[in-house]
Amino acid sequence: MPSRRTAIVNLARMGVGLIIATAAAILFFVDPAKSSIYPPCPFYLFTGLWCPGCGSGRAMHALLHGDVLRALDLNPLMVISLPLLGYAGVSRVCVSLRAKSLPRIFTGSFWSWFVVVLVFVYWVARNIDIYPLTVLAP
Amino acid sequence: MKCSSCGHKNADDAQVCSGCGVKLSPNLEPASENMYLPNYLAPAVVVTFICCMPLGAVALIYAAQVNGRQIAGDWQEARKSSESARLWCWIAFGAGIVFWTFYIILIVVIMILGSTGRL
Repeated sequence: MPSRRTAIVNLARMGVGLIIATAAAILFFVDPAKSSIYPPCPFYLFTGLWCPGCGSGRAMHALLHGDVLRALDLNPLMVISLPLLGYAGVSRVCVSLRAKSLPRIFTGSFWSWFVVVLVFVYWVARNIDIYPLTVLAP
Repeated sequence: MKCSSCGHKNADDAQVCSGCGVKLSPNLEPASENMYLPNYLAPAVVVTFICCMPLGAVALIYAAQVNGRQIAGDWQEARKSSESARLWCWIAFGAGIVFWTFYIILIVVIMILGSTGRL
């Protein structure tokens, strides 16, 4: 018989699924470039600088409509990392469903630091107003 | 069976911990270098992208420390980094939710004031 904890965990899983589906539906139908229903990036609001996530909403809207090039133009790092983050998510779901974990890729210290340094370099680079760094800005 | 890695309570016949994914065996050493330790790198990247908070950067740094410390054999330090990474992911996520909630309340208030002609 499932315990109360299992029931709560299952409820949380369904909640997360529901939130992701709702967010995808809103992003599909409402273009963040043309609507103000989306909150602004807090980092951009307070500093006037782009953060690594700026442009993600518009990029997701473009991706959901199949426009990969526009998505890459808006936030290249987010689009490139999306398959890897998706893999991590699916792997996590597999683990929590007690199936076998997917093969772990990019493990080890080097790759962890590579990802983190990449995000920080990207963060700085997209705020530098010199070509070709300007293509990184949303 | 209580997981020796994360403390999650699993069914007695469970092969893999449903809390952290580590393989369960009754005679498992409580802490070993080969044990699976989540580094929370993927969620740290996601909260940095979505919540746009410098708080996500803290989670990223802790996440990056985990694997190196584990390989070096600093099991306790690796676990501390892992736990800190998880904590800061939640802090960044929470901050994003708080910001979003305030924004929605603000928009609703502006809409109500606008419709009554007071703005």
